[in-house]
Amino acid sequence: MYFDYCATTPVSAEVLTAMAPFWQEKFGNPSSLHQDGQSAAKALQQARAQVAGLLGAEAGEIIFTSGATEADNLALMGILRPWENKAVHLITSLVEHHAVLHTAQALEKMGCLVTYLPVDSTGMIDLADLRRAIRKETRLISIMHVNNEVGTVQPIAEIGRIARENHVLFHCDAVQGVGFLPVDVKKLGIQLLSLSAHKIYGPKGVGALYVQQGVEVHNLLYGGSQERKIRPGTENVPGIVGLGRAAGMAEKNRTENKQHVAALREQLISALKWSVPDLVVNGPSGDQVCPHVVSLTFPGSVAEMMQIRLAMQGIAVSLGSACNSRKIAPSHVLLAMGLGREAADATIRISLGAPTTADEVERLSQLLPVIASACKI
Amino acid sequence: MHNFHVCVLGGSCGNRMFIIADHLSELFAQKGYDCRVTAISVWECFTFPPTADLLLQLLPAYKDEDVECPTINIRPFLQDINDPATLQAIYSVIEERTACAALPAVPANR
Repeated sequence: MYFDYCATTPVSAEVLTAMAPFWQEKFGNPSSLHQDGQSAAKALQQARAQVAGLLGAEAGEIIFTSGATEADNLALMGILRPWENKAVHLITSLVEHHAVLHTAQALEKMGCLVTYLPVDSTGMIDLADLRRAIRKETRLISIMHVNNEVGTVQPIAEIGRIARENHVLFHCDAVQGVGFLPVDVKKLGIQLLSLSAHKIYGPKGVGALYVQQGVEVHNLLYGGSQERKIRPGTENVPGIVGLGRAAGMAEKNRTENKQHVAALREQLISALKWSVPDLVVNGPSGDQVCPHVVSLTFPGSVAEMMQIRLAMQGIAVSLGSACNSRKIAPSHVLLAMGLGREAADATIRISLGAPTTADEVERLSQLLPVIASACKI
Repeated sequence: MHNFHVCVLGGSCGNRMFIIADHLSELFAQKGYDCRVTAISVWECFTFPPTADLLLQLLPAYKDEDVECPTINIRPFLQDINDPATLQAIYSVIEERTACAALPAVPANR
């Protein structure tokens, strides 16, 4: 049983079918002028329109990348341009994905100023902190839509408004949110947005960066004129076709998917709170949490051992973020929220998806208390 | 002479369990213990518990009765590899167990 949809999702059958012709039949290079090339180019245009439709953007504002990590790098580096040695300032948060945090740290080493906004115990930034952090050198605010470890939904519309009032660009890592929450970049005041195919039942290795018309992003790669010269290189046509189809399906199924996982989340938490009285559900509740992410602390238990015991039963869960699974350091998100090291070490992340069933959640809710008890120090 | 086997059991902690095993080897040598120290990941051995004379666990994988030897929780080493209380607990078991092994057997009809 798979409960790690924040890490990745299976490619849906519809996406796989859409991608199939582009491996061997329609394999042309979209930059080629002959029919094979133009057939591929047309498929790219369609995918671009599908991704734009998901975001309320124009097709020409979508740049395809190798994934959200590249999109995050491109947004931050491409806007802040540290090589130009100008005084520039970035505002981000302590709970961003490492694709943003590590890029921000690299920018600091190159001379950029960076402010990392703290969060409260639910993982939420304080808009007053954001306002206070803005200075005349501020060029970019980068705040994620939905936190991948605890599900906190940041106040994106308000952030967009503050950015607009202060003439600062706003980048949003929307990787975890686009499958469940509506994202209209125009209404939300977002100028740059990153997303990834493999979080919305598309293939790995492909993503997109939305760049509002008029915003200049400097390229990080050289060697071609693809993707408006912002991201040169022969396009991953099958992957992009898959991303486009996945984006179309995400838009179509968004409401149903959200309702589905919200019901499963309620089922899981209700059952566990009855059987594990000292259970802690991390993050906010209600509309401030994206329901597919469930972060649970089992006081006194060792989460890594719980993960192993669950794995022996064929159940996949995560410890914090997938990116942290090989490191001994506790989750930076949980620590930023004020959890102590012991609590962070006792925390697992369960993430739900469209294929998750109520029976699976019931089985998990029966096993977790037993396993947590067996994994107490 | 019996070579007391101390096994360090870790998880997805990268090199930490090996660092701890190496460090303990040095400490044991300094104290003159006749010990050998190995390290293993619980991901490799969960179905078949490791055999050792003393099992030092970074994760609560086994109880004493599961592995037929004493087990000690060494999670404090994650913060301080020289945590005094944990080290003392380890030394106590080694000294007790190796002292018992070194004593000659007493004849039945003395």
